[in-house]
Amino acid sequence: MATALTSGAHLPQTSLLQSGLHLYQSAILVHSSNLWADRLSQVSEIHLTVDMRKPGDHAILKATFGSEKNGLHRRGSKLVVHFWDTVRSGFIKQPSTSVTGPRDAELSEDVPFNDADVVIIEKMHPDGTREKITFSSNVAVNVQELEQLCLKVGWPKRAQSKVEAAIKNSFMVASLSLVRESSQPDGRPNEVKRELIGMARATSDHVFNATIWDVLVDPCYQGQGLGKALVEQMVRALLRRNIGNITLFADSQVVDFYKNLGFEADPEGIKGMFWYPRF
Amino acid sequence: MATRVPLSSASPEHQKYAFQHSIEVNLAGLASRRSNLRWTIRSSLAASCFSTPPQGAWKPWLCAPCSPSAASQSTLGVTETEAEAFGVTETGSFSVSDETLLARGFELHNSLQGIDLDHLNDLFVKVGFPRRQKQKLERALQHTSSIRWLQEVKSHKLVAFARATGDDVFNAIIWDVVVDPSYQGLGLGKAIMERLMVDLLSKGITNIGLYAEPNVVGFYKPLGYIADPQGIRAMAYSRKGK
Repeated sequence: MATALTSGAHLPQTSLLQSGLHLYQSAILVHSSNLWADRLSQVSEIHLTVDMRKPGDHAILKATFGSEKNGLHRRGSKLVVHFWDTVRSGFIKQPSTSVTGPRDAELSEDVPFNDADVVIIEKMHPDGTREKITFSSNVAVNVQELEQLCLKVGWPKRAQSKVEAAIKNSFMVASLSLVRESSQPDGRPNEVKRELIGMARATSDHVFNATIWDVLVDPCYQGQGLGKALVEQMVRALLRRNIGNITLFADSQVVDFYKNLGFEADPEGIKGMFWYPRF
Repeated sequence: MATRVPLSSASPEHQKYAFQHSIEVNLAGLASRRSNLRWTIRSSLAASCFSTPPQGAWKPWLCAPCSPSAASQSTLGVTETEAEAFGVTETGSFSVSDETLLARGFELHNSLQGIDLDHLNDLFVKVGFPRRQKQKLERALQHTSSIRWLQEVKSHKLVAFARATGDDVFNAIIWDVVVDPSYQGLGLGKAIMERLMVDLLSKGITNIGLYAEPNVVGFYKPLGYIADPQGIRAMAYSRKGK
């Protein structure tokens, strides 16, 4: 029975970013057919499921296609993903196996993000309700919801107009949402509820550097690897935009957290400095 | 009363300790508009900055009486008192005034207009930075909210440059601070930095960071920058892996 991939415990999201780790001793191979490449731009959700029956066998990559969320139609494609290629390119295009991202020429103009949402955790309940936590880098964040979330983690309150402006001026605003889909009995469309449970944003010059700020996860959902997933997916999204230098400032107690995600402290001896008002 | 705030992110603007001071305003002292501005900036600084400076002493400048200082208008529209109002310099004026810069033959620019990207790239190379692809450099500068650069009038040479990116409200990072090696030691770097910082502070941005190579940490310290404040570390994503 294929098992839906759940949290980082089963498949460390980091493994897809860092080379040298094996997924259940199986290599995942991606066929890049043109068909796949074309369809990828239409993909709105990506699920990665691992067939638990035969470890060492290929993984099944399912993708949900559709140009609009409402007009989704599901297809399961038994594609085999080349692990090393995904690791190397981080799902950016690669000469031989291009699971593609936007080409350099396209990136010379500011193309709005159309990256697919990524499902981090998915749970099916016996009553037919489906709960999933998704990452998105292009869904608009509701400022009121964000304010609630900031208060929940204990941050000082900030002027809403300022928060709105900060979000508008950020290069990328990534969010984790809890999506609850309850099946309606008499064939009516499913009721979908979406709740903001995590956020991170990055400022950037759109070309060379990006700095990640304000990483937060709802305390009720902490401890599940969501923070890791959030930052990891955000880094991937930034890499897809060809940002070569992804930086952040880490409080001493979270330095190890970021080290595990591929960040290096004081790279080449470079020191982070902050301005202090003195006069 | 000090309220302890749990830390949950990498953002230094959210501190462990968010003090809520009652801000006592000496209304009698807020005679001039300048003083008003000073008070506003300082109170917002208090709300968002580290509550305890690393030195350990909390400066009660919130309640300090405001002392007006002489205003002088420069030809470039930046008043010297703005340096004081934002606490960028101790003396209350820029280290090198606009007049002095002009007298020495340097013209200050604060926008992309008139910049020669080839000259900028040449400057980057002179100080050991990589040369950037011109189209990419232009795009990056278009998405940079604050730019300051100095041009030698006689030779049209680009001699100093600095830029800052951010969300224009809370945070800013200063990048690419460069001074032509032939023109170093004249205070040009300081001149650029002070003006860039006044620009950022005037937007209300109080969280200003930068990444300094080890040999230039000493350049930023007198400008008011502190390395690894309260143990905060600069980190960069590295594809070399674990």
